Amino acid sequence: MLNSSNNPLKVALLSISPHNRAILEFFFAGAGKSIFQIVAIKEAEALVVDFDHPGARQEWEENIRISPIPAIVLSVKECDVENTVWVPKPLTSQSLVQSATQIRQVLPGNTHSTDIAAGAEKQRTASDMSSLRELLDSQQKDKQVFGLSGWQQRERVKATASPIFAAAGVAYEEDDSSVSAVEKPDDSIAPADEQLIGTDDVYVPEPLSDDEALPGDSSLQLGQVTTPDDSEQDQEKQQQRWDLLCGQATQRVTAANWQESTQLYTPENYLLNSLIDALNLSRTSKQYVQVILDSGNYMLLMPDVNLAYSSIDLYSELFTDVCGTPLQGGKVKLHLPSTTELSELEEVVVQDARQTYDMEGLIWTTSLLTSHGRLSRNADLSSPLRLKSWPNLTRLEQFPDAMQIAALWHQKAGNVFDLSEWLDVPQRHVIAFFNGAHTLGLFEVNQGEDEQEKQAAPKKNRGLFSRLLKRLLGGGKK
Amino acid sequence: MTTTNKKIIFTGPVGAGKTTAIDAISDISIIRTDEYASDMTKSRKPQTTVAMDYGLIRLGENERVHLYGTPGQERFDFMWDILTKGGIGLILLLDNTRPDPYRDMKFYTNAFRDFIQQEQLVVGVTRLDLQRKPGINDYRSWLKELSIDAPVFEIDARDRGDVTSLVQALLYSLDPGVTT
Repeated sequence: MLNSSNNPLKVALLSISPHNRAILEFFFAGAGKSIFQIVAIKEAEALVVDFDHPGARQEWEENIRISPIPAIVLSVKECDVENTVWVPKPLTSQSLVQSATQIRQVLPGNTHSTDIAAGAEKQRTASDMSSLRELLDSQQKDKQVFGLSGWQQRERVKATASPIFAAAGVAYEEDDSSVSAVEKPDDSIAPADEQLIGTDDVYVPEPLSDDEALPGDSSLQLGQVTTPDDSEQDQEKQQQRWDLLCGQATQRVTAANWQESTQLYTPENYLLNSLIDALNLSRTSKQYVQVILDSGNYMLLMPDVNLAYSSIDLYSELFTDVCGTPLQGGKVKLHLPSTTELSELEEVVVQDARQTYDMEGLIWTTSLLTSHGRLSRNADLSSPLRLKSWPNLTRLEQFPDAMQIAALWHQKAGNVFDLSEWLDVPQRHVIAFFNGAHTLGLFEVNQGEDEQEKQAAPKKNRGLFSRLLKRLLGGGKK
Repeated sequence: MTTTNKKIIFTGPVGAGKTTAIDAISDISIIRTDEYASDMTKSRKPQTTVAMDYGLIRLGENERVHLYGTPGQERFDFMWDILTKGGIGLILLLDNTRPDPYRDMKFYTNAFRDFIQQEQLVVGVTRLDLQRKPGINDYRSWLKELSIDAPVFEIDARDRGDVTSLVQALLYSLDPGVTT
């Protein structure tokens, strides 16, 4: 525990980079507020010096010649110097708090005077930080700032709020040649804690008051929805595309009756099957593989760059037809292009880059257009499956509920029937997700491990999360 | 009346797109560490150095989501443990054109290890359009190697939709039952 004194340790910062200064001030203004107080050097009980900063060590040596007060030394490399406490980088709040304790023990008038070097040794070897952690937590519960401390924050707001960025009111001047203690630059600036806002959850700096709207922000209304273009026509087109990807079935099938359903397909009868073979071949051989249709159209898989080229636009009716029409044997060929062919193909790809897709993206879309919301006749749905990795959803065609389905399936093993029930979303969306992710090899049979604890996490933030998602998905300023 | 504040942290190496990503979804013009701002706003000098980039999403009068970006340069100096207090999740942005993205991933997942165990991580890989290797599959394998379960997406940090997808994945991972 800390020294019995309730007063914060008065420290002066020697030369230090602006970022490190900001980080330390950030800590001193918040969690470390009752432990450290930054003062001018003549009032300091101890110095804080960053030995990794050029010239800082010399500056420290000069200072202690005049006034031999102890110092907290920050550095990556271990430092064993008399009358100092070494705090290794990366800095932690615990180690800083502990360094204050050690410094206090050697201050004049302290009855528990301890060899500071021994203290430093403790710092290096201490593994049980629980009491410090408790102390720190209690400090942070009391008041915590994030990001900007005190007057710096206010200064920043001033600077940002004003169209003219004048030099007046500069928070502090960096002066590498001398000790620069942090002082309030202006009496009108409120103390740090006056700029904090308290909540049940966290304490954060209030970056702006209502009167200090930032430039460019004045027209923004809360909850304002602007772009994206959500005209009726676009929405209709979007819905049509989702219907192609996920089908339109509204009835749910169950584990007991799905095999009797008419909503089944046989992947082997479609282009999809050849594409999967090509994907596997290209990945194992690390060669480009061409999938050639009898019409002359083709896809080229390029495993070294994870890209695929399709001579048919993925969003065209023709591609939908090609995916959805069963093929007769021999209508699709896999071909390993020769060097000459490759250079020709690469030229085509460069000239027609618009039809170059993420390789997983091509497989995903082909799988969805082929299955059209149907389950594979060969699917093994007897064992619960778990999504071992999320699909790269930012580069795959999305449809409603895909993100939510991915999140739950990654946490909890189940089958398509379970998922649609658990999430209460249209089963066709779950089936579409299953088909796409299964084709990409992203599922694994659940090994019976305990489900991750996160699924049982309290849902206390559900309302806020929901509002945040609505806000982000609905548009906003940007 | 109390205000509810939540915090999402963006981290990653210099140039990975943290500031840009925050800017893409923030309601306010973001407050930047001067490392980024110096080139863009020289006329605004002198500047106040801040510890982190900062953006904000207002959900109403009493709800705010604060977006914090760690300074990319401060790999060894930064006090990671302070930053994470009160955070609901971490978005790690990795630049695919850097010499060793795996080392970057390892460094940052290690720096935030405790937080990731308690909350949620989402990984966004930037500049895959400039450098296709390693691919998303490699990042998935690396995460597995580090025993971390997290979504990985290719993103363009300038694209609001991509950044929104990262936040979406984060929120759904925390609670798949969230509705929109």
